[in-house]
Amino acid sequence: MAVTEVREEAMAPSPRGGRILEWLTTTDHKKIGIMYLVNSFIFFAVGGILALLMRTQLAQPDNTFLSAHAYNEVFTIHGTIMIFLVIFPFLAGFGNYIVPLQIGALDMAFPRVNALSFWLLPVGGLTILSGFFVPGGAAAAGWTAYVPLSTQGGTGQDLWILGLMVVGTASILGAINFIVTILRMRAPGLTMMRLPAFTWATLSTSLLVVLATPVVTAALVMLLSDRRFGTTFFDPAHGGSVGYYLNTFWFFGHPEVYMLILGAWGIVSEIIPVFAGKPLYGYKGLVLAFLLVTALSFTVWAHHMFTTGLITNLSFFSATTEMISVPTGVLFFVWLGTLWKGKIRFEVPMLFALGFIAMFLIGGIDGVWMASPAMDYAIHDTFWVVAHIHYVLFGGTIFGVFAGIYFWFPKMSGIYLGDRLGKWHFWLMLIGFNLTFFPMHILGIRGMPRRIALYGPTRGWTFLNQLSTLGSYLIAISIIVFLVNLFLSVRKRRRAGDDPWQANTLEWATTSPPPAYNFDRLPPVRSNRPVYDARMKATAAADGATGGGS
Amino acid sequence: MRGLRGGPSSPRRVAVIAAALLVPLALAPGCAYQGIAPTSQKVHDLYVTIFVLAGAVFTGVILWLLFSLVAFRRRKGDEGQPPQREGRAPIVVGFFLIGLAIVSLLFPFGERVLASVDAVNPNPQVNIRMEGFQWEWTAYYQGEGLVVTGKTLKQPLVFDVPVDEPIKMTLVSRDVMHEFFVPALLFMRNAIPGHPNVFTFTPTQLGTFPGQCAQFCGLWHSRMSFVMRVVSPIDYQAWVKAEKEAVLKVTCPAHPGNVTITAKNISWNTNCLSIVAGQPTTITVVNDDAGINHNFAIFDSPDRHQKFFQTGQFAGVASHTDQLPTLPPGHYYFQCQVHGPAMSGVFIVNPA
Amino acid sequence: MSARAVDRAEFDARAVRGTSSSVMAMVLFVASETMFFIAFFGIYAAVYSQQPAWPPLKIPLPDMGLPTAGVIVMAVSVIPMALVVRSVRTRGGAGVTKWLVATLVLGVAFCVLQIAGYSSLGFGINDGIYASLFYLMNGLGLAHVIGGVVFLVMVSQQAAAGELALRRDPAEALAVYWLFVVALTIALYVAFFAAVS
Repeated sequence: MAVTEVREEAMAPSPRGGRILEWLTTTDHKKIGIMYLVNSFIFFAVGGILALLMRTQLAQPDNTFLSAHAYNEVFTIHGTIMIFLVIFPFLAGFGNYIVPLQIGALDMAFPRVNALSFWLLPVGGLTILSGFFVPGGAAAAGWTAYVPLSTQGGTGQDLWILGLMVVGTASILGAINFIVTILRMRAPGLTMMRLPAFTWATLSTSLLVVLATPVVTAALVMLLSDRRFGTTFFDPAHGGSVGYYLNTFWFFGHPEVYMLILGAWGIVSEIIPVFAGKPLYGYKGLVLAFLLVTALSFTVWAHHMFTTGLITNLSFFSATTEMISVPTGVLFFVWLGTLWKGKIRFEVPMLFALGFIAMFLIGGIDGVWMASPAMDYAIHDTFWVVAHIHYVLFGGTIFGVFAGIYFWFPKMSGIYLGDRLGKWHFWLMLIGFNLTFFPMHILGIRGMPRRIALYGPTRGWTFLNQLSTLGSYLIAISIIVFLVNLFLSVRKRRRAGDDPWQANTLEWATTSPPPAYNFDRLPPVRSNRPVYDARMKATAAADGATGGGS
Repeated sequence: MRGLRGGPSSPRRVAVIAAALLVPLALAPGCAYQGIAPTSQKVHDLYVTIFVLAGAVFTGVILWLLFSLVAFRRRKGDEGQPPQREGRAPIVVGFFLIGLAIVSLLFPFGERVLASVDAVNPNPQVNIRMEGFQWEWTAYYQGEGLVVTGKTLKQPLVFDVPVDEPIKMTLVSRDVMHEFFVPALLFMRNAIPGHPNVFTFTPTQLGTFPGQCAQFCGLWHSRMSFVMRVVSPIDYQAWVKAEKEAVLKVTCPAHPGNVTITAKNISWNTNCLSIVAGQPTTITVVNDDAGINHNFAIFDSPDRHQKFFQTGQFAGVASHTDQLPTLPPGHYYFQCQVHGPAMSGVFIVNPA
Repeated sequence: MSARAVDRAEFDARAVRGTSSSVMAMVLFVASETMFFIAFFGIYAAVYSQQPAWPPLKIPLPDMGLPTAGVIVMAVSVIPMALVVRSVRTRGGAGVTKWLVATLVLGVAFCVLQIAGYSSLGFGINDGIYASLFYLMNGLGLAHVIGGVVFLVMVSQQAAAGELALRRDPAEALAVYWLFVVALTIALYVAFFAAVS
């Protein structure tokens, strides 16, 4: 096994301008992956600040902190940014960095296309954000941009449409790249049924992107054309229908939700076995669950439209929606089965992964109410939905993303992120998160609609909203703790070895950080845990002497 | 303090976490409205049923998780390997079957309630065409010849329905998507342009119930609220009569030569215009709503069988002046054709 | 570990390396494009099923001549494209330039016929839902054919430089895309010209 020393040639003193240019023009999947993560984090900060503005506005009934128009812009851009420029690119960033390493490849199949997919993201994101600086302001029709509302509005809405088209195209190119990379560039011996869970998750996500994202691009083309070229796709007065937009949007929109969570399932499924000291319990079940979710996610879209009266076969979509919880439930069994009789180490990545399990469990279960149409009639378009989506995408994916950051940071940099502040970060975020979003369930069943800038003092919603606002500030503090931790860790430089966590998959078989060409030498792959196999072999051979990195 | 510093696996901390997770669980079932109609009560019961099932699953998984974290934590100095079990096929298949069983148990409950909530009563006693627009509601009581409306940003729509009578509601929209939502009814349904939605319900509980638009519909979405009052049939009849008569009581002084009316925040500044018959009179329509279209039209009545006059639609901020036609003395009805009765009033032509 | 495991691993590796990356990527890209157009065809189907006549009564009947000629030209272009693939697969690229240019000529001819046909439609883009579908779907279809023509020019340049003698994947990827474009053209023809009632 190679022994880690921080690679000096990677940090060789070169003129500063040269270093920056190197990053700007790189086609190295690792650098691109890091740029994805940094870019996502910047947008995460922007989206987070927008969220704090919203929570501040809702802290008091009839508050005047934001105007109604500003509030509408803020929640629209918050949703758009978080979904399209934070959560998905976070996962794509890990995919970029980790997947080629996990499959023992030199790079992605198309490195230049990879760079293009990345650079289109900030372009699209800034296009959307630039709406704040045009007359009439940014898009203010919600991230779902329902017609006919989205056919109103000014230039901001057009910029929103164009920005999303760019981001969508970027993700399609990226997804094609992932699929080809995973199918064609695996190391010898790495059969499909030996692929690491995260790679399977990235493959499933990419299939969804390739097949679902073009559908929303079509919806956006039609929307833009209705707005600017005089077509009437969504105008019922001229033969069109609002339903055409809703069906097209949600045909993409629901697979989209799984694009946003599958990657986090993958991350957690990497971390749990490592810190339980066991292989995944039911790896094949996990893979089957990923694939079933991928397939079923194309059959559930109309559950977003139960209250529209446009759907005639509610029972079918209710049934498919409840069906998709079966493979999702299997994941919990796999994770709990992996913990069972393990020897669990509570390192920071593991804490986030466990937090993920608990929070995603709530997010999964509160979705069961909405899957039943009659019940959905009572809570659809209320804060219940806001609670649900955040338990899935924040309690789920964002916890998974931070698990991934703490887990793979030593691989990307060669140094550990601090333990103590990491734990502070975790507990603050967990408490802040629940304080923010749990009360929203109750607000929902007490009838508070989502997306309202103002509410009256007599509705009984004030206290729960204040709890929620308090929680959101706690989340913000936890993110500051994370940044401080990052800063201090980089200064302290506590060196991590090749394999600091005693992990299983091929990214841990190379140095930390890996060289430009990824691997000096690959261990033989004869199971889905090649690094574990190599470690066992080395332990047996050296009889007590441990391998590199500890 | 020691308990919170004893590592995530210390029993005290686990107990705290378990309690923190289970307390909201115990509180939550009481949160849902009981429902003011038999169908709503079924939805409430469905809420509780799902709660029992989902709560059991949640509690089971969380306790399993917490137990594992305590029981299988790595002890200090224990460097050995746990048994490397990869999961046998029958058990993994079992994972799928357990989920399938829970879902199949749950599904029929929802279906039964759905059938009853979606059932349309064939003999409604009150027939309301509820019209949403940016950003107000107007209720047309069909068969009663009554129109009640809110005034945008000024006063919400207040409408009465009789208790214990089936009500039919037809939801339509003049512009974008809206959503009729009464939390106490545990029900919402979209008002969609080009797609009227019909539902029936029978309120069985007297009271005043707030509702509002639940589908985001633009700038003043949050102010698009209304109040539904469930009253006795006698009070309902009295209310209908009073609302109809209220129109006749509206008066205002006549302005010979020119009348001016101003639209601001989707409301007229007055609900009454008065002119003198036989005198040539102009009308100045001022539109103070930036970017929003209005116009001014005169009809025989709110039912609009006959139209006597209309101006073109124009967006604010702007004003237009037009010559009014000669009309015989009497009471007429005017409205903005973009926004309907919410922007309407009485047009009085006084004898010369 | 066991001999069986090794065999499986190698078998898998060989199976995977049968297709080139660029062809696989192009297949995925075409799958994505297909979904893009399925969204339009889905709305087309919904609109079609609600109209008593097609095109709707206010819209003049389309002139069939040029579009029919165009779709025939596109269908015929499959033949030289097939010969391009055969050439790179079995003959080391011999004669490939000739067939590429033949396809190119047919592709350009289609574009010319299409544009000529659209210059006298008798209705504008804002004449209702049929016009919306007609202009956007055919416009996007034409844009994809033009994209295919550009792709053809690029591959022809590679052929002229002798590169196709060394690697066949540019021509194969092109063929995958061209096949998609031809299928799309035919589908659009059926939707807007053959389905006239």
